[in-house]
Amino acid sequence: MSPESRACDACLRRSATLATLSARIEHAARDAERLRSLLDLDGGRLIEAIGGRRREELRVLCAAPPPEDSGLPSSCVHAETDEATRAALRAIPGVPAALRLPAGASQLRSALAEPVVAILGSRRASDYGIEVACSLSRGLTLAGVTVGALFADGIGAAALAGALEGGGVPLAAMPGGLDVCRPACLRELHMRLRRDGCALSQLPDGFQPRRWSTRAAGALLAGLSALIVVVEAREEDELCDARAWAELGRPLAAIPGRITSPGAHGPHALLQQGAALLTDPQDVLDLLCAAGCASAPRRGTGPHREAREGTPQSIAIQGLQREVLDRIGSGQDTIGRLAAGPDAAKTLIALAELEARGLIVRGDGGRYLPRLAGNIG
Amino acid sequence: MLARARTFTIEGLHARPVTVEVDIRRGLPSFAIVGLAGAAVRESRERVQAAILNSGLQFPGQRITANLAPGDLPKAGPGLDLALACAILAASGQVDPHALSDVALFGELSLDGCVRPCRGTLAIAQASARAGLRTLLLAPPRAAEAALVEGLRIAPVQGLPSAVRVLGGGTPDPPQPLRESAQASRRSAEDRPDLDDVRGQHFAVQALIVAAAGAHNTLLSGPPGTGKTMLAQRLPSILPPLSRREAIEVTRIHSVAGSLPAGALLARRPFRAPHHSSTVAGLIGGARASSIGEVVLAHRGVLFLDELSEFQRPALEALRQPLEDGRVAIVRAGRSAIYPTRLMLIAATNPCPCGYAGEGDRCRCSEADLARHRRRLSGPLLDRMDLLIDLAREPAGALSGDPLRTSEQAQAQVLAAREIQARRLAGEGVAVNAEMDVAMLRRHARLQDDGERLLSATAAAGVLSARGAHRTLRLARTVADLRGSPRVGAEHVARALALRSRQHAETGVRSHVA
Repeated sequence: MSPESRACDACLRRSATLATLSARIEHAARDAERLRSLLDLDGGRLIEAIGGRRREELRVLCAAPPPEDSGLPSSCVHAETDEATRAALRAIPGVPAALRLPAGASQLRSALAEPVVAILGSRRASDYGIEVACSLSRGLTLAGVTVGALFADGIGAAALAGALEGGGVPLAAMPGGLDVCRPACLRELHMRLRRDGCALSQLPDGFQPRRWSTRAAGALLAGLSALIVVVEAREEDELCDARAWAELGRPLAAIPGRITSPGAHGPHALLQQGAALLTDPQDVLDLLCAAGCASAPRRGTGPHREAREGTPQSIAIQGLQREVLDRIGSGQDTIGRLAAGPDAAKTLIALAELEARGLIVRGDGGRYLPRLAGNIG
Repeated sequence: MLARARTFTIEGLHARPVTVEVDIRRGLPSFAIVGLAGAAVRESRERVQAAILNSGLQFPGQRITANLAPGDLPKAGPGLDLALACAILAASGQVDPHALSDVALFGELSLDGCVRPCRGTLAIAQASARAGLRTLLLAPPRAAEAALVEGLRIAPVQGLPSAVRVLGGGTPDPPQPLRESAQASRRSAEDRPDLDDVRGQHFAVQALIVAAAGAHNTLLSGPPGTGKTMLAQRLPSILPPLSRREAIEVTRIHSVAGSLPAGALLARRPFRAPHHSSTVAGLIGGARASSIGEVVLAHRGVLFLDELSEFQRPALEALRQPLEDGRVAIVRAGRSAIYPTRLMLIAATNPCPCGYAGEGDRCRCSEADLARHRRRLSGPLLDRMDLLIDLAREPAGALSGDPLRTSEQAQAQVLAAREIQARRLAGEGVAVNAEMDVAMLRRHARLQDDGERLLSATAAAGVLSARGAHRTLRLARTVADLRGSPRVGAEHVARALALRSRQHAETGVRSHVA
């Protein structure tokens, strides 16, 4: 079965080469800088650099024609016909490789027609970070922006889930092959992405994610985006990548957190270095306008997608419910603190009603968490 | 000559009647015991012979055959010694055989002829009374325990000479005075755990009262040092006191298990807290007939599983049937024994491997650690828990405040609620709200309009599954009973919702992502 679109042979061979040399690249690419310089080399020079004693063998192996694909569509800078999409793909750092897409190049084109905002963050995110990423992603999708994220635990999965909830087509950069779902608990998300989203991978099917391939997927995402938003980042690794992408010329934005939270150290450092501060999706749209995106939707205009069921409604709430919601927002979030006091019964009823309306949810430790509507306007 | 003596052997928790028949005839001196005698019973030969000789009595130097009837019942334990010795004495004419006809004998013999106490005395006494025997001869330390059974004359005997005297119509020895048990009970009254030791954690204390009122199983989840173990240990003190029938039941179980202190009636509900390294055999009951599982020892009491996530999975799976049916059947060597297991389950766990998930920003666990930890908790046992309480660290000021309730006050509340339940559920076959099934819920847990609205709104929003809605209604019925309200209103439903931390219940992973 021939796929509707196929990347050029050179790019497919490049994907296969990267997969073959994977272990050597992992060993040689100790940090983001080194990885970037390695991926900037084309096939021959790459083998020269890291081939070691098996150079000749590898050269023969990688010169062979690319293996028969499973029939999944793929695309590359050379094979792509649409000018705008080609320009976008050219922005991806490194020597171009074939991009595997499950749903065909047309979906990629429509996804790249809107400005892309990448939402990145730590794998072990707090409940707050997950809620913020999910609602930001949902709000941006409803306003017509394409959201891109890395397929990983924590913030990545939350952003992708939020975009799917908003009825949009998120760009998911897979750290391994398209069909590889690591970690396994994200299987359901993986299936939904294959069906409704746009999953991208530069590596052949069956490739297990490695640290270098995850970094490369992040760079791919950054290349395609107009703006990068960091929600929560605790380790130095995650920050390094963001700085590298800033060098690519992509504007950075960050969402603040509590100063005692380890996950907020990253965004706060970025804010100190000049990243923009975000508190809601409208800020993102303003930033996109400022960055000169011609097709950035303005306030109130642009395609409005239908939000899925179960998303919190931003209807006005007042009275005791408002008071309880404010108390939760300001940190009195355990059931013990909320149910203390003489009118505990009424407070508990208000909590139950807020939960039924989807405005709060219980997270770790049974603490209540406000859900953000994330709508614009 | 042939003589018969009546005694009993313990099988499971019951005492089965055994008739010791002794036949003495002319022949070369020999002493044979037949009748599926276990190892300890086979050793009786030596003990009985030495005991009779050292008591100044005569051991017949003829051919002695002792049969333990019925022949298909395995006999275990040394308690048949006394009956065997008396039957031999009767068959050799040193004791009147007719005196043995309405008397039960039970006890181990030491080599000098003293009678030693054995496990299971209360069960033996109950069986004796049921069999219509008038007197029970046994060792003095266990006389008080046997005296709990009505309609039976207890004759403590210190040794074989006393037994011979009693059988000849003489007076028995005095029973051992209960000095030890009085001391023990005085000591334990002082350091008995009481609810007023708990400072702060008001919501958790109220939750414990709800759990006790409706006999709902509870899971306490929280970081170390928040009082989970402390609260669990105080649960027995707020449960209704044991009725006399229940007290005898529990005393019998502990008597058979050999863990009865000083032979007195157990007045407090049992509290068992097995270590998390317990195996299936330790929790349910082992292969040996004498090993009684923790779940049986907690009958009519509380079973506390601390560090629930550290328990072995097979052990937790094995707890399912006893919790559902209220009894467990153990098959050993082709014979099955049924043990009762009506108990309340309370468990404590940390929310994540490091213990601090949700506690500010201290948790350092990765997603994989969290997922693995949640997987260990989900499944068989979480299904049985009605209350899922999260405990958080209290601010420092709370520890110096006043306690919310004393055990006495809480117990009064619990008793009042239990009374309401007993009246409402009379004739349904269950006595507490936690055992109500869906049909009973529909009949007895009538919702007021506002309660109905709140519950259906929560269910419609996808926050509760159908099963979760039934659980919540059951809890709400208990909360309404505690407040004395005949119908279940919105405030009761709201409190019931707050008592079930749904991130444990409905899904294993964070519910608001995918």
